[in-house]
Amino acid sequence: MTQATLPTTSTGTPAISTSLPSMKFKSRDTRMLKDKVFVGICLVAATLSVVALVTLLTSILSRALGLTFEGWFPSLLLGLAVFGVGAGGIGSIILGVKSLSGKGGDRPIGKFAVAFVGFLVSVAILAYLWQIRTGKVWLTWSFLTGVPSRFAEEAGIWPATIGTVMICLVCAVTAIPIGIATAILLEEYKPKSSGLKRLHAFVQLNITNLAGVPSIVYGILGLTVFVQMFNIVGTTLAPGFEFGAIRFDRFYTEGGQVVQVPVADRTAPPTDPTKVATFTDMAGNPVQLELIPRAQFAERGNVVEDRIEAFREKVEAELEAAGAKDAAAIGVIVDAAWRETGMKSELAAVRETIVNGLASAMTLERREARAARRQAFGAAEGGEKQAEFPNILLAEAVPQRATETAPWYFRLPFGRGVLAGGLTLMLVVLPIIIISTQEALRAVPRSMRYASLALGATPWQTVWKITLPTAIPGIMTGTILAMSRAIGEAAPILIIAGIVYITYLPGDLMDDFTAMPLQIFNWASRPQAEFYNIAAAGIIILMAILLSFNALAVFIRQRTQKQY
Amino acid sequence: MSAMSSTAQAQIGAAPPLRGQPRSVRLRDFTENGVMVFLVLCGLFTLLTTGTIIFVLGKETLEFFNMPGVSVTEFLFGLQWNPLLGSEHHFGIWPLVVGTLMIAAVAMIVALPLGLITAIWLSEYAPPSLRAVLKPILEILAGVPTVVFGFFALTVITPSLQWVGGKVGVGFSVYNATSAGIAVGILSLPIVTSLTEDALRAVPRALREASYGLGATKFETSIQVVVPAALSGIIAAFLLAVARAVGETMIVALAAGSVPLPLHEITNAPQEARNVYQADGRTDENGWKDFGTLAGGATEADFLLVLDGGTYTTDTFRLGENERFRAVILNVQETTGPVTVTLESMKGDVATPVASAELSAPGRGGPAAPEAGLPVGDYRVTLATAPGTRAAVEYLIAAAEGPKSLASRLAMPFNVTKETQPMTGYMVQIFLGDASNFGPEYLSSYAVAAALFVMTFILTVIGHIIRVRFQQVYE
Repeated sequence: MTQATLPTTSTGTPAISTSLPSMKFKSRDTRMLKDKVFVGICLVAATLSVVALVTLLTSILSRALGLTFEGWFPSLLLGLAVFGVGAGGIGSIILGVKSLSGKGGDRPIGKFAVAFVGFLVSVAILAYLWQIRTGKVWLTWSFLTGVPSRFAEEAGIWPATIGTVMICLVCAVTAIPIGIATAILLEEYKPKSSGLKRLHAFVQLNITNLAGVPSIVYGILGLTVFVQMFNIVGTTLAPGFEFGAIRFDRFYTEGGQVVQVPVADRTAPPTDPTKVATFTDMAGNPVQLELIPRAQFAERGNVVEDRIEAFREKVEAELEAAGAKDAAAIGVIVDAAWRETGMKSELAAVRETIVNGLASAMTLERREARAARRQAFGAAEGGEKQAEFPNILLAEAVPQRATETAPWYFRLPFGRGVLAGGLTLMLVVLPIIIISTQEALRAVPRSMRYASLALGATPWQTVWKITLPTAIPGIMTGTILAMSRAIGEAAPILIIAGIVYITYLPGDLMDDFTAMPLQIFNWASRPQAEFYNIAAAGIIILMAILLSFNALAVFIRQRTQKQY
Repeated sequence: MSAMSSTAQAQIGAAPPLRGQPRSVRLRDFTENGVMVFLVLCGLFTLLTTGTIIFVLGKETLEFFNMPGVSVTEFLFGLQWNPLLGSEHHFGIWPLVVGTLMIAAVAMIVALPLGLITAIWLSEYAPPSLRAVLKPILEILAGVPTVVFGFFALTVITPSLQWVGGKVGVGFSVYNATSAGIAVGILSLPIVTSLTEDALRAVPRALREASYGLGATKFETSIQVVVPAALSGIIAAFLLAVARAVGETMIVALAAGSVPLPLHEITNAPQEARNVYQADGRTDENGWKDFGTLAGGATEADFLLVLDGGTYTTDTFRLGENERFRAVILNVQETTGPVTVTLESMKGDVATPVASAELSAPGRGGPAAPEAGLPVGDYRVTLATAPGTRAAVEYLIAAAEGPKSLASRLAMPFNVTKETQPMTGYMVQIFLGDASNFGPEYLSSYAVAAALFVMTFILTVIGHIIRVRFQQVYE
């Protein structure tokens, strides 16, 4: 095809042009125009990916920071400003460093000034938009440090953050050594015999294939292998092997105190309180208890119940009569009723709970009001029982089995815990680490290896002292990028952990957990719009972590890039 | 690190200084062998991973096929995927596969041209300064977690599509295949771009220079020389991107919806009805009462009605142009006598019975549509019992979209503006606890995973082979 263009440029070879009589010759202008148009199309296409990224960031930022506006223009301005801050900021850093180090080429200071002014103008626009925004800020300190909640306003991401950190640590500790070792095997120990060569090629193909396996399939693998262990060493609910867990049977005395008795293992039958020698409190101090059969206790219990009922009736009647709404007025009524019904416990201890509960019941909807009132009188009842029967336990009391685990708690199978999650992530990122490490090792020139071997070093000494140290920047870059993939991976973790509502931090490696992408998925899949905003705030934090990881990788690459 | 490498280089450069005692050869060989064993074990670990994936998926899939009501033939060739609802379960994989491919197709329509053009520009045209800007942006785009893209699809792409659709008269559902596909496309864009660019850069300079030497413009060189030369590499990139798009999970779980494509011809099962009118439990003057109040608050009977001698008439419903009346399905839970169901056609206020049926024992039944179908118009259903008869019933009026022409029937399932459930979406739904463990519904997700694994496996292996061939050609 290119032959058709010959005659226009090569005037000295008429033989060729005469041999192609049927070809039509386009004018050079048309052809150059085509070139120009194509460059235009290319620029549009390249710009589209920038637009996609900026739109993504802007839309999420605007949700998380409440940057919603009247009309469409400020939103467009926001997108441009976000782009300006990003491009201007990064540009001025790069150009600034270049101009300081004197490597910037033509007039680096001028370019730096342009970038920096762009950055400042974008910041100014952002500051202006911040003033005229109409939404609520969702990305707050209490969101960062809070726990999930069913109310979007109170929800936080702290347990998910810690969960992500824990699974990623497990993942890094396992995936990095295995990945680098596999890459070394594949790159540095290439076999010579034909059978081993075939095996080598097979392992290589296998790794390429593993890199293409959808991550959700790894989730299923992790579920069977790590969470359930094929159910050959017990089940998730009844592990075959356990280490580092202490179990208790807990009783609630009539005075509301919790006492406990250690039990041997999870299969032990519920403890009979009449056969226990010593009870201890939660801190482990022995507690002297009086065991009374229910029938015998009923009478004493009824006296207290009657007194509380009288108190309750009195307060409710008075409240209705007085129509009191503020805490002070309610307090007066409560104080009077307390005295008149002869309540025995100290009022001061529970007064605040009762008064606040009743006061909030006045302002709430019917169902919540009922709950608040119940809570208020529950506090009164608890206090009263505590005063009356500090150490009385019913002989028929049924214990609750509780498990306390040490930080080194271990069990087989792992169950839906941090360890299983981390190991599953390890499977996901392992091929990525292997492939990037292989590339880094391949970049080390052969001559360095030969030099080492020629000096009498063994293959491993060569790898350990020469090849690995030289390839370490590349390996680190690849590993950091693989870890950032692990941080953002949601599908396998979704299968391992499920959507769980966790308001505490995982205490050991077997504990239930949730991770940031999972929490974001949970919020994003809820129907209420406020949870979208919370999801956006979570994404900002996730993206901040990921971008800093990426920046670190780029930094290492720039810092240590060497051409051999 | 650099300190280490510099000492290493120093050691190479100068003669190694003799320090201390000569090391034990035995210890050295022991280390050497120990390391070798460790490395080989790590290498075998990856083989073990693949083996375990195949074993786990294979074992559970076989178990699934051994379940009652499941057959391999239906799974491989069935056009109906209905594992969760209704009494009749169908496990035909094709609706899920087509859903997956549909989303992947939308993704490739977005990613392929854009990625190809961007790659050509990066490899042939871009000045180093612009390249230095665009490459990191593509890297950042590649590093964005998929759940973020899912959120983006749900909160930005879908509303935008609905807005644009509103202007041009195309209605997009809240969950739709286009939105998920576009997000997957943006996700695959960096993969397509970087793999294609690698392929283009691998084309030897000599080819380009020869083309320039013949007087070709840059555009002609790129399109007529470089791209054809790199074609197999580009195809490999494309296949790998498709494999990635097929396995994409979080985006489709958030944005694509959870209703498998209606590939099969619609049958009489009520759960497939497009319009379902359910009794709302209101009390009316004819003796119908809310079952809940009678039974003392039985919650699962929210839409059960109790008939105590008398008639109950449903709201009038309209049978549209393209709708086909299927049946009135009456589910009698308990009764002391016959219950009559009558379908009536409404002309103004005049009701004409069209079909009726009578049930006198607990069970399902009801009048079916006449062979010729029903004309467009208003209809209602009347339920009646004789005085003194008490019955607890629920009813369902099922109308379904009727097939018009072959073309529209073929086009209907591939509607990218409506909800779709791809394979990964189904797996998420199951593992989030929509099915009890170890039933066929639960195990079916393993079979779907196996099918997905096979699909991505084939794509990856072919892509890899093409890529290796391509690399060999130019090395």
